Amino acid sequence: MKPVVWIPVLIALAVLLAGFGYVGWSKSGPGAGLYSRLWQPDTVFSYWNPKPFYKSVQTVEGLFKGEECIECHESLTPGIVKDWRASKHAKQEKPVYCSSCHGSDHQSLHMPTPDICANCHKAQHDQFLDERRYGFPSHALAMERALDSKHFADKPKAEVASCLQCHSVATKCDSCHTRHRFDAAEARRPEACITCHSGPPHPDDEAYFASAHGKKYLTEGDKWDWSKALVKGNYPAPTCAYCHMRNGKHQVADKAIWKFGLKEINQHKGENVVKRQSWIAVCMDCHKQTESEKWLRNLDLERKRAWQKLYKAEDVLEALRGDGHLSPAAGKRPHYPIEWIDKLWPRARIGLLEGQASAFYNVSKIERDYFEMWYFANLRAYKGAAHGAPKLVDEGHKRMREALKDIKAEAQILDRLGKKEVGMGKPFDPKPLWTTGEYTSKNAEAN
Amino acid sequence: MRIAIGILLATFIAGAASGKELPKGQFTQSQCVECHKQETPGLVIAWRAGPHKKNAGGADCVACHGAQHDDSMTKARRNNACISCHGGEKSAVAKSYFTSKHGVIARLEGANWNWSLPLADANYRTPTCAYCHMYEGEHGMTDKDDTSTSACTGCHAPGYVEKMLEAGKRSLDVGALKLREAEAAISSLKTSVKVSPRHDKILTAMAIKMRQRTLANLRLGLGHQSPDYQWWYGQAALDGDLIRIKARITRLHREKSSKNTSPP
Repeated sequence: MKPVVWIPVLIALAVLLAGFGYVGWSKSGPGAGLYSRLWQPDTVFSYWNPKPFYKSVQTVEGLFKGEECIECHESLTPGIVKDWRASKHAKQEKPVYCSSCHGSDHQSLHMPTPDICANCHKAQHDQFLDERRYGFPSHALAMERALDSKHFADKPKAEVASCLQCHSVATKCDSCHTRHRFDAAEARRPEACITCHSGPPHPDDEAYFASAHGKKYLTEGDKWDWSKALVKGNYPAPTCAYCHMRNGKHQVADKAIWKFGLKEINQHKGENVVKRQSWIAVCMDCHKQTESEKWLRNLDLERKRAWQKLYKAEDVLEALRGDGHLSPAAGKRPHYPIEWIDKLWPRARIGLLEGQASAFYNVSKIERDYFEMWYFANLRAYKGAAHGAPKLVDEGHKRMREALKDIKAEAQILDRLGKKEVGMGKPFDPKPLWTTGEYTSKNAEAN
Repeated sequence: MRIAIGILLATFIAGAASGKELPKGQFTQSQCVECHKQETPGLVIAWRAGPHKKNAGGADCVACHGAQHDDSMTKARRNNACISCHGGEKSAVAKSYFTSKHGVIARLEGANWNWSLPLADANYRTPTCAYCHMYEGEHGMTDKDDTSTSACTGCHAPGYVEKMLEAGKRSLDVGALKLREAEAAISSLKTSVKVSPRHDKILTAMAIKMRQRTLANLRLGLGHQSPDYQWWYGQAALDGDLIRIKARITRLHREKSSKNTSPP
């Protein structure tokens, strides 16, 4: 082969290797994830993400057998011993003792991570990991999702410790199978999901409990046999796990056709057509095919209506950005430390592709209003439509209409003031109001 | 009547002292106190010194325990006894607890628990309102922020409890920084510009809401271990409050400097 061909190939290879090298380097800091070199973990991270952060600080010396652990902890921490005694782990012919999961050397005990559970529960663990291939949204990718987000890298670590409480669903199994009973029956109940799946951006609890399915569960669910598998005929009405973890499969988000409601999705793409068929198959455990298809079509229509409203708001914001009338504009407010390019070329982030998910602080009011419209009102409507709760759909769309109206009115004022100031040659300087303050300055300095 | 009460009290005291059955029948608040001053003086003193008596006179023995002895203990230990006064199921206090893992498990399994057991020694699989706030039957309702951790260590390792409490305090400190930043911005506005009473009132109300509602949500989220109250109703909501206060201040400055007389 001629050298002419080899040179670009070699250059491409060098660039590729350098890229891998850079990512590897940036992941090797004291924190974790893509921006690990930019932050130090809070001590409490050790419990939410044990693999990189947990170091045993036990002073008790010695190697202990399972029975010995129990003997001592029976009086030290009676609650967890009682819990364990009631678990399947304790009732095996060869019980799964404390030491089976935490280790025997008391000075180097570890917090059990999913790979430790996988020593026995391999099938479930394989499924759980397999969920990664479906991309976001995902339980298995949840920790990376948190650590690699801009606001996580930026904000004080004591503050974003809150994020890990839910995002640790990727790094330990007891988010659903609470310790130390690890009961599958408990994890099958809808309430097992609501600690994370509740609140403004994901009111799955409200949506499900307001649906016909949820109402049936609330009335009679306490009498159902929860030891039964999540298969057809075992439950009189579907629950979170029945639909999202059909047949007990741990790829929880393998059918996400609307990707959490955060962006508009082409429903005709091959993979979405396949996922839709899987949804219809779930509904058909009880309903007719035509009915099942109709509900999904109604969901599509709701999404279309939602995105019409959201795009209108985005247009308003983009026009303001274009005219330089965002107040404060990008560059007049703190930027994320990881975005060095923002220093050179400040640019407001509008829409999911531009980093909307972090646009809830260090932004102007109108951007925050749009964030809430997109992340709270829109998702309320989406969760309602997906779970059969028309009340939430109406509420979500009403809030979106109101938000759009407010955003338009605010934009008019910003436009008027901006033009006037330009005319008078007296642009308002948002500094130091927007760039300093006890929280804002501390955060900027820490970075 | 007096004689009847006297006989009743006498049987009550005698019964309790000898470990016999508790007196049957309906009792009024004053009858409860009259007898329990002798029987369980510590409880009465603690209750009288605590906020239930001081700030909410109605939160007395009968309000939580009912008027008779049969189910007086099991009734008062249940979460419902507290929630009915503390804002109901939809209040931030209740929701932050009932969406936590502790609350979820109590809701799912509580019907099968033995509520006659004392509020101690991890007798309940997860803590309830009373288990933490009235640990070992403590009736003073003292603030559990930085006092005893014994309610936690029946299940959790002391190191874990300590780290969680410290992390909670650090997060609350961060939240307080946001509030102080907002309050400082408002006072700095007032020193530089004359603020009309109407705008003064609006800004003051925004700061009060930030302190009394949003910061309180964060505190509840941290105390009750509810991710949503820590984050979306707490920290991220404080960010929103701060932005909205700064935006209003900015508007006032801009309207003024562009000599626009129309109210913002």
